[in-house]
Amino acid sequence: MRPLGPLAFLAAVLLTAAAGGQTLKASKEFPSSPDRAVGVVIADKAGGWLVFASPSMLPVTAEPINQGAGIVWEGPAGAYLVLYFPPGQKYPQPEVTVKTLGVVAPVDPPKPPDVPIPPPQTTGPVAVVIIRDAADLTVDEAEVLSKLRTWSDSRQAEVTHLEFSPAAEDARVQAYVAKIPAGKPLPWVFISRAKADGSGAVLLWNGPLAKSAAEIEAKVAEVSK
Amino acid sequence: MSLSQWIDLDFEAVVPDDHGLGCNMQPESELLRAFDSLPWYDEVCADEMVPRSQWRDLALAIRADLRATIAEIFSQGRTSACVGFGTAQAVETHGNRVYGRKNRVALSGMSVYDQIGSTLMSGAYIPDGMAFAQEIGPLPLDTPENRRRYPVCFPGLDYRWSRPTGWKDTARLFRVTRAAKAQGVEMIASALLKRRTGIVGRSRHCVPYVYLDFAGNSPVAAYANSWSADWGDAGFGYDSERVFGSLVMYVILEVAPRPDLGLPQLAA
Repeated sequence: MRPLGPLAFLAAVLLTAAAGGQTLKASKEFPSSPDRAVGVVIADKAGGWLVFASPSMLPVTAEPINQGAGIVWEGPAGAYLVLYFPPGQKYPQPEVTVKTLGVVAPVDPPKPPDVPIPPPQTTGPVAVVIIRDAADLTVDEAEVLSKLRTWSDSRQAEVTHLEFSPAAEDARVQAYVAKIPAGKPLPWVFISRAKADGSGAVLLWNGPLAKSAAEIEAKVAEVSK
Repeated sequence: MSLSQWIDLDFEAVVPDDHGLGCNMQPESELLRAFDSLPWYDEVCADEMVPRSQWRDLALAIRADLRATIAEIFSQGRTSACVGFGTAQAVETHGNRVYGRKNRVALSGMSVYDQIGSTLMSGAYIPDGMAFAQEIGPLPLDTPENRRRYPVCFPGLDYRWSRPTGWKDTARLFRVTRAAKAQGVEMIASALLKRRTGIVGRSRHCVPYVYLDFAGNSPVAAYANSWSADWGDAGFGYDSERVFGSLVMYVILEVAPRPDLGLPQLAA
């Protein structure tokens, strides 16, 4: 008669286990790493434990916990057979439970906290740049521009007033023209200031020409604080 | 001294001993040819005529602002260079209005005249002044500040000054890029109320019209005469609508953006 192999022995154990009392009370799993998990099975009392991976039926290294009233192991995702041998049995009959450890999805690294990016340091006078078509200015617009220029002339150290045609053949002017929202009528006002590091300019505000020079003056004061 | 003392002066009758005239009247055919080279103001500014009912209020609201943009009244001395001086004064004033006085550059009237007048005392044609301002442009006047900023500056009234190679590159920084001609009371008044400057010629003299004013209830075109600030109303004179309505004004609409305007450079 050939001796029973380990799998045959295990099968025999499992067949008899169905008749055992139910003393296992809890099982849990905990993600441990992206492709592994920790399984835990708890019983009422301390007893003996065996854990097998399925379907290979290879034994798994496990550690008793809670003075033998529980077992814990770590392994890759998959099904595990957990055999629990209650104490005091003349003919050990294990209780069997199947515990499936799930796959843990890779965890994205936590986002860094939102740290506000400080605005670039600016220097020099604030420029009020007006893109307008000289041929299309209304009387009111002409008056606003005249008042605005007079105001900036009185603050030459702080404010520069510049008016350009949208057709001006100048790359610097065209960089402003390109920022006028599509379909918006002229005149269009930009408030900008040179960066302190000399790497260009910061656009502080842009919008249509206000109905009074005072509104633009207030906007300049607001955005250049 | 009241404004009305300086209305509709006959330049030939009142020319001071130390100043000249110099506006030549062209033969009709040349005049028409020159006129045809520029569009009419009411064609390029189709919706732009200001209703007469608005003239007075608007003129009084902005006249001080506009007058303040004339940084200095030019002086042509005894020469006949009024077309050059009037043109340069108009270009400089327009620049002050669109780029502010911080960006003001004193321009040379003689740098225009010596390119369009055949001799110092010959005078020049009005349309030639504006044509030159469009094709090339006036040079900066030779001042300590301009000398620091520009490679070529024109020395005062030196008609015979020999221009160095490359002078046109400097002159083009100040050229007029868009102009038109206006004729009649409505067109000229509208142009002035929209902050425009330009040149006109009458009684053998060229002057730059710089703003619209009122003498009582009557509109007058104010000009900055190139007979220095010692003449007239601190350098200004005035033409009634009877006079300015009979003239052709060469109006500046745009001047070139200079590299040194202090325009913060946005990323494209």
